[in-house]
Amino acid sequence: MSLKYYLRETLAGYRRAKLMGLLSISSVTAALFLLGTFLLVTLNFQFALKGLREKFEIQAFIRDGAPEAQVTVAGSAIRSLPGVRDAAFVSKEEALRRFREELGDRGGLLSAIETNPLPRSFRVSLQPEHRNPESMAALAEKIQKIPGVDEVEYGKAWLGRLYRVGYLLVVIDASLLVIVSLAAVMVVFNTIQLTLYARRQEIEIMRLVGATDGFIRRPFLLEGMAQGLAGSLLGGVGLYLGYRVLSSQFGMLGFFSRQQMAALVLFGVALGGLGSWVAVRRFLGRA
Amino acid sequence: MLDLIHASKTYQGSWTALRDVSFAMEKGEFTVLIGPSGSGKSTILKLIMMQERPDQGVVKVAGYSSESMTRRDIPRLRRKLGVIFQDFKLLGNRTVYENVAFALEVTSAPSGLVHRKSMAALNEVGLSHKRHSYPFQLSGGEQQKVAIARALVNDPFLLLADEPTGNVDPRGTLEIMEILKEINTKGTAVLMATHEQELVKKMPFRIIALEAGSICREVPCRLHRRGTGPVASLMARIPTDPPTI
Repeated sequence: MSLKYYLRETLAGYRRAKLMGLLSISSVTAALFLLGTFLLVTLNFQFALKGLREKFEIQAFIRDGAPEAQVTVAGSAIRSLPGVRDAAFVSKEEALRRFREELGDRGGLLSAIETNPLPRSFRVSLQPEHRNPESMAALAEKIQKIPGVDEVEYGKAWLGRLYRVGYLLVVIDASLLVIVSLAAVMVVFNTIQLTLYARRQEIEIMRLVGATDGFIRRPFLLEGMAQGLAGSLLGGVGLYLGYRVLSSQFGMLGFFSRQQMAALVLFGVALGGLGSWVAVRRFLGRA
Repeated sequence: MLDLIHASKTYQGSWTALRDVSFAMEKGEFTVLIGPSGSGKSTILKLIMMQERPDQGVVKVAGYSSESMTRRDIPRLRRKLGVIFQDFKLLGNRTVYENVAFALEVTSAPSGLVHRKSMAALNEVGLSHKRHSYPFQLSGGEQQKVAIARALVNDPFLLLADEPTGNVDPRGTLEIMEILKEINTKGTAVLMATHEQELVKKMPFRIIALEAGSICREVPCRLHRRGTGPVASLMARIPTDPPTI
């Protein structure tokens, strides 16, 4: 009985204020589309960062003239450091070969050099949880102190920049989350407030004949949540279409998982629910 | 059942709507509150419905007290009361039947019960044949009958009627009064507020006369001798000791 009543009243609410309802829905759509777009950018950046992270390593160059025994000890010392997965030794010859490979066509330049100027080194690979600027800086410092190690290189500057971009994206996401959520809640709040005002006589009678506040509130809450649901579904469809178009152009783009998509839709429902809850609470408190 | 004990109500800090009003009502009683506009009749009804709380004194209704009643108790009290108004307060976009059923639906009653009781209430006011009509298709008297049916559908122990015949033609007024008497004989107490002296003159009910927020029922003879206001002239026409039903 009650469920039928709530559904009927929710639908009636839509019919009574179609235009405002559509405005509410499109606001939630726009809000979630904007938020979703930035979340997708962040997501794809994180994917890219994860791929790069596989390649994060520290190079420890050995001092020229360091005896073999010291090099072996240094290698063991590096491997025993917490966070280090492995340390592969690169001889002078191996280093030259790799350099030549990297130079490609211009490898001939190297024939002008009589002696091999490249130092011996260890390529230190890291355990996944240590592939970040802070851990790498700490490890580099420790490796630097090992006798026989001349210099340590780990791309400090670009690694820092990459992480700063990642951090900035998260800050933008968080700010957008707050701004668009507030905007969506405000629009739903206004729509439901207008509906409440249009139905104030009905609400007055409901209270006179003994309806509880909860009973009066529920159809309006449902109406707000339905607006949130419709808006977030439309926003989700928009995001997916946008993603399809962009990934056909650029390829290799990632999209939200099903769980993430469901969370986004639920978030829209929660925004709608919150907007209407505040409106009804205010209205009933005042009436 | 109903007890107002030294109840006073002041609006916006300065306008005193009710001053030290005390009276009680027993089960099945029919009482008329009479007085000119602004004498405090509607305020008394609002206090009984707990739409307002007294600034001083206490209002006790059906075991609830204005002193200890919480916001959650109010719907429970109102389901035991029936209320009708001068402007009927019907929903224009709902049929007669829907208007009556509405009062039960909001209490989450099962649909079978809603139908049975709504039809019974419409039968009682003689409007079951117009259940599919909309309020604008009815006369003032008929609209008030629908409002009465809506008030009765919850089986109230007390029916509050605020100027029930104010927007009704003379014939409708007689019908409404007959229905109210009928309801009362079946055991429901009725508290009716009106300013229509002629209407009350013909009725043998208990009368509480109000003037400027105070009761002047206990002194009808003195009012007759000294007073010159509308209440005094009314009191001159009713018996010194109004019979109680």
